[in-house]
Amino acid sequence: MKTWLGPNGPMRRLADAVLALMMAVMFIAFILQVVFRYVINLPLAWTDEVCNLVWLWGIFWGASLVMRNSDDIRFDMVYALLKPQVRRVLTIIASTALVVILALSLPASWSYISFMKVERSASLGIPMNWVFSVYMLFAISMIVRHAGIAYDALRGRLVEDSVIAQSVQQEPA
Amino acid sequence: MTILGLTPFAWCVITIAGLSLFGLPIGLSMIGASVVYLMISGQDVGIAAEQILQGLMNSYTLLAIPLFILASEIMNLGSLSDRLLAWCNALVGRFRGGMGHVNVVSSLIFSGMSGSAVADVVGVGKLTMDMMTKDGKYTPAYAAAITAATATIGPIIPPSIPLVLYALISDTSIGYLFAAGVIPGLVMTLVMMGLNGYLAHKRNFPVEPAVPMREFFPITIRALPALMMPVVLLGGIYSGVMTPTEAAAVAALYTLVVSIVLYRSVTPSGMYTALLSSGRQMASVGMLIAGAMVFNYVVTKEDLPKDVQAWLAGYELSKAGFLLMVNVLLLILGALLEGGTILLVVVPILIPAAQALGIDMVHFGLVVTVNLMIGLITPPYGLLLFICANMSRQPLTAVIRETMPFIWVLLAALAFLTYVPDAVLWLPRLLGYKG
Repeated sequence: MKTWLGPNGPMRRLADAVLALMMAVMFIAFILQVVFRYVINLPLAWTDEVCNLVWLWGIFWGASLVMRNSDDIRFDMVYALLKPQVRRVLTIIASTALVVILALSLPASWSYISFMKVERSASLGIPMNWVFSVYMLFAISMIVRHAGIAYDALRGRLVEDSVIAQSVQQEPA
Repeated sequence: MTILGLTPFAWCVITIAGLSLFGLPIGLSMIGASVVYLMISGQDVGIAAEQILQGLMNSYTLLAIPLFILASEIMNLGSLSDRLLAWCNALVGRFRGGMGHVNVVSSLIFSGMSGSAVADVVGVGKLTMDMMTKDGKYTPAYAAAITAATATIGPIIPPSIPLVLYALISDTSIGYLFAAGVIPGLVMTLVMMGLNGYLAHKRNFPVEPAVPMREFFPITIRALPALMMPVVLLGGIYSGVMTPTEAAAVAALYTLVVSIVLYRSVTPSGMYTALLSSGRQMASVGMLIAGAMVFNYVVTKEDLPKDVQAWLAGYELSKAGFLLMVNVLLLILGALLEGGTILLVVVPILIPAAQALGIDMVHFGLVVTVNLMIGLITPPYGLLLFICANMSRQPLTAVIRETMPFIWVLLAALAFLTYVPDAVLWLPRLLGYKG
């Protein structure tokens, strides 16, 4: 199970491939849009929407399943200076707090998203509760991830110890 | 409702600070803190999801961001950078401190293609750094410092990801913001070339063998398709033919076609890596934007800008005084926080006050962005310093020492751009901006 879901396991690679595919779709949709509008003079309506959908899904898909905890933009100047023991305690507090906050927000988020079934996207007619459901994936995966991080820290392991120095390299600015 | 005598907004701020200081990603901290705010103030917690989802769904201009990221990923993939460097060397390598000048000029040209300082540093920056230190011509620390410093031009010269974000929060036209970046970018280029030239004479930096004129022409031809990219991009936007977002897509396509057809430097696996890497970066910036969407709801709901305005009114600040205060504030924050965070959390609070004082929003955007870029190389926590120190395997302190003179000349450039708005606004006005 561990290796199957591990950093280079098939599930990870599948998640990576889906994200790369989303980027490709966004790129191609945009090119089609430009070509049809300016070259063939036949504006397409659905390309805009596809790009918007992929943007939304790509962000949450990537944040939930592709990005490691170390890929994120964080404010680690103080954190990085602390002793590992202190860091562990802070990690337990922050991750647990986040798990509680997100868990408490789940019912209300779900009620908003399921309420959106009354709306459909403008040109493809996709029910908006489907479109927005990716937010639930995100919220739940953040809960699972941070519960795991808190649990690991409690048992004396800190996930980020080895990667904190490299975290700056991933950052877009 | 107040808890422990603190208002919901106070709890929101405490939660952001707490979560992010304790090592959580900033975007997540902002989302978590906004949920806390909604719960304590007794509002519907579903508003958080609504703000984030509706905000991301209706932000067409933001789509330029992943496309600009993709374009620079593709560019870094191919041999575009090598050809451009050869051309820059033929142009300015012959002067004293030649490779230093090459570093500045190549950053300038690259900034016309990518919207991110980090992309510039890890792409062309790494190449120039290697060339500078190859034969021991320059100290690695100086090479790292000048590479970090010149990368700050990247997001000033269009295209620019920070300017797209600024357009979002200030409701300003991306086209005019991009145009306004050109002169400041050139000013920054000039002051850094000046500094490099001065240091070159003082420290006797080497000269590169002059490239003969008859070789200059073929080198230019080889680099021409790459040099044309900014023209395609900006031409597309300013002729009014394309929206900036579409221009970003066309720029990515242009880079791809040039890399495949002319330079034959793109493999399928390279393309996959570029797509995946831009997807990750999109998710990373996207989380920050998602956090900012809901945090900005809180700020608006609390009418915070009004409070800031009232507070500022108490000081009876003039335009010049306000701009000075903003610069000092942002420089301090920039040394401590990541640029995107400042742009999306702090700047929205300053904008109404700037508007009330009659400061031009396009001018303000450039002042803010130049400021944030200087923050990227300001110790102790300038992001580019870390990256360049890491790439050059130099101690951070050595790189910081060499970077200091660059920070001073960039601050001089910032002062000029802050107090001579006409220099910033000249080009946008020429293109029809009424401001």
